[in-house]
Amino acid sequence: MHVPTIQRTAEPSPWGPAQSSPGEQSDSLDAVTAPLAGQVVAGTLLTVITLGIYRFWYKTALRRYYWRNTRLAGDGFEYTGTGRELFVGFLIALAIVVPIYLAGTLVSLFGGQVLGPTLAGILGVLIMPAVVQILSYRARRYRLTRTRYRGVQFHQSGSGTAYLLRTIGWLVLTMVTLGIAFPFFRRALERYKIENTWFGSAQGSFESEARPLLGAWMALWVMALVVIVLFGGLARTADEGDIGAIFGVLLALILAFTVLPFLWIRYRVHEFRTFTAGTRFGVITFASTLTTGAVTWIWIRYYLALFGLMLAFGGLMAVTGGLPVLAAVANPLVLLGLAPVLLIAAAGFLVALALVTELVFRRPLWALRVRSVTVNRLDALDAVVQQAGLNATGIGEAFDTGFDVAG
Amino acid sequence: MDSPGRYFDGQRPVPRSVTVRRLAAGLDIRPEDDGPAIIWPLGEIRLERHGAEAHLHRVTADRDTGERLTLPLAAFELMMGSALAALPSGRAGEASNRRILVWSVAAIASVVFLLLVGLPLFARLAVPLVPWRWEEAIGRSVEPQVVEFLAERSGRSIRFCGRDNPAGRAALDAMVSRLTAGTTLRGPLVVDVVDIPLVNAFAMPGGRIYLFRPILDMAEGPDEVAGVLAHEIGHVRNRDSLRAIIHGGALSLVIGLVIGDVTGGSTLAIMGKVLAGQAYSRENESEADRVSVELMRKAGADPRAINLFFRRISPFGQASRSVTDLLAAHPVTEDRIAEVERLAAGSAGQPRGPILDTGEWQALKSICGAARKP
Repeated sequence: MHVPTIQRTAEPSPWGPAQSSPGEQSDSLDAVTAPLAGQVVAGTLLTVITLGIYRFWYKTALRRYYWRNTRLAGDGFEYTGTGRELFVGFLIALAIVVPIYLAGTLVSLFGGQVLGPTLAGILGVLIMPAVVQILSYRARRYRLTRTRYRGVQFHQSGSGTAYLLRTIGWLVLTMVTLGIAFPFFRRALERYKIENTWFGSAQGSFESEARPLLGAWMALWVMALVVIVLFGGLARTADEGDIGAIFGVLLALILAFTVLPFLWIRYRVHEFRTFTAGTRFGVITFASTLTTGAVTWIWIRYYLALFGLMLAFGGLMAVTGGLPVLAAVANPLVLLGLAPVLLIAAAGFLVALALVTELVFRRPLWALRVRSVTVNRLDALDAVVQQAGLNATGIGEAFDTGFDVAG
Repeated sequence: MDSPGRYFDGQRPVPRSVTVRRLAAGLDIRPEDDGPAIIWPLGEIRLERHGAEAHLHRVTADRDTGERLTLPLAAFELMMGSALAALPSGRAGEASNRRILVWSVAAIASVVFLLLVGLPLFARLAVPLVPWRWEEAIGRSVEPQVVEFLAERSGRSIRFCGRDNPAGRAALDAMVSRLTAGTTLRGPLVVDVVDIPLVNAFAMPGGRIYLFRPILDMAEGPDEVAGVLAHEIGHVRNRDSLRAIIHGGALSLVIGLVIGDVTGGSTLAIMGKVLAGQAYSRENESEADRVSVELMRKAGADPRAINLFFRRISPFGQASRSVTDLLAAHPVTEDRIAEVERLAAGSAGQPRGPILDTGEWQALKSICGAARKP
């Protein structure tokens, strides 16, 4: 099938935007931070009350929020998926995952001393991640086909199996090189995804190199090596009380919780900028100015907020928890009466946690990433044409969520 | 009441400036570039409010046509008037909130039914289908997990007594063989005394029975130990632990399905915990009590001894019980004690004497080394 890619049109479109000049336009993506807290509270509570069944509708509501508030040239993106599709996809995913789970259980029960753990290991370490990898690619296809911009649909070609084979090949190469080839592994997967991404008739292309990422990656790699070597001194501390080794292990702990996560964030930010710059749709190109400092700050604020939340709930339990315990010692039946109170406290904690995660972490990170992106040559959009037949999607489309195979 | 708007035809991502006018049966969308007018019937208009803008999309025959229309919300509301409330809502293929609610309630009801009725029934029906050899294999697979869990609970490693104490071992074996003489079991029993500071005893799948050391320390005669052992043999004969494991495994699967995580946690570990922390139902306990009375009577021992033991260890009205102790796993009630008395009273003939002679009893008591007062 021949699909035209975007060509620079010499003539302005007859129905083109109001501008009379067909000159090159560029615009940055915008993130509108509309109110969200109410939806998070309602969605979390309904999810708890319905024993988790509402989570498909909640997730859909969140996606609608993030999609429609991501704006380009005045128009928001649209998420047209529904909770029902996710729910049906979840049931279908169950039909695949549950037999694997049952097989793992039976094999570990009846497989004997050697064969049992081996077969269970193969199921758990090889087959299950492979299935998850395939499902995650299909989940991306689902999300793309349910995404529209200015009424025109995105979609994804390629297959989950091909994606899995690429993953396996590059994973082996990464392991052989002791992790040094990791940026190449990441680029290969990103390339497959972008080159199979379509906006209407416009197919994505990917021209990013992995080499510019090697600096940021090797800094992380070397630091990880240092931490591992320092931890190696752990055995000596136990045996001889070697002061130097104790100091080394302490240093390793500090590095593992400060410098190492920072270097990982730094690598991922570099990767985001590089991959964004390498992505094209015809002549439409992208650029990102995302900075490590801004992303790190969001992470720090998120951890501080989580810490504060734990402290607040811990304090609350310490203050109010003493009374029920005393009462329960006097009369165990009190515990039954307390069950609703405990349930309400647990639900309150879940709501607070969801609020922190969404408002302090996910939305700021989304806004930061979106606002960092500039889209060049928007004028080329007028050559994009909607592709027919994309809505005729099978029932097994929505392998999304349920198992949270893809963020 | 005309309003300016931005229209997308669903074919190209290019906005067209339009003038929107309300018709009796829908909207008349007239491009400013003099293209042909577009008519949206009322029943195909879906509205989303975004701030001061009305974002309309068109759904024909439950399919999104890709057509979009944006206009000022105030102008749209004015134009629609009373017809606004009648507009269909949601995306193509989306169920109404009421239907979601109905199905959610139905789903919750079926999950609760499954947990309360379905799974216990399934476990009961599944047990007779499992061959004894499989049950033994399950027991062997689960045992390491149980030992690990118990070691964690008691804070030290687990020691099996009698493996280097032939006299104690012989006394224990004598007790087992006298209790089971003339009774057919599906397979051999493997009984061990475990040195761990918990007052408990339990049976695992495949005929494996653990007696914890404090039972020997607290018992004042061999018949009290034999009564407890016979009770556990009752659990083995009724395959209660296999049923508990099937129930626990199915339960963890169902909970995993509901919260969307069947991959978390090793099944074996879950099963081990189910076993070590199990509480049988009252019917299972009464059934095991009946077996205990029956075996004790056949062996010529005193079926009431188990009641003496329960009364001694059971701190009725007292607090402080660990989760893994005998009383938590085998709740003792006055009903059960009275039932044992009733069954024992119906026995023909008096007990012939303790199940072990004095020498054997001393050997059993010191199976873990020097006797220790609890």
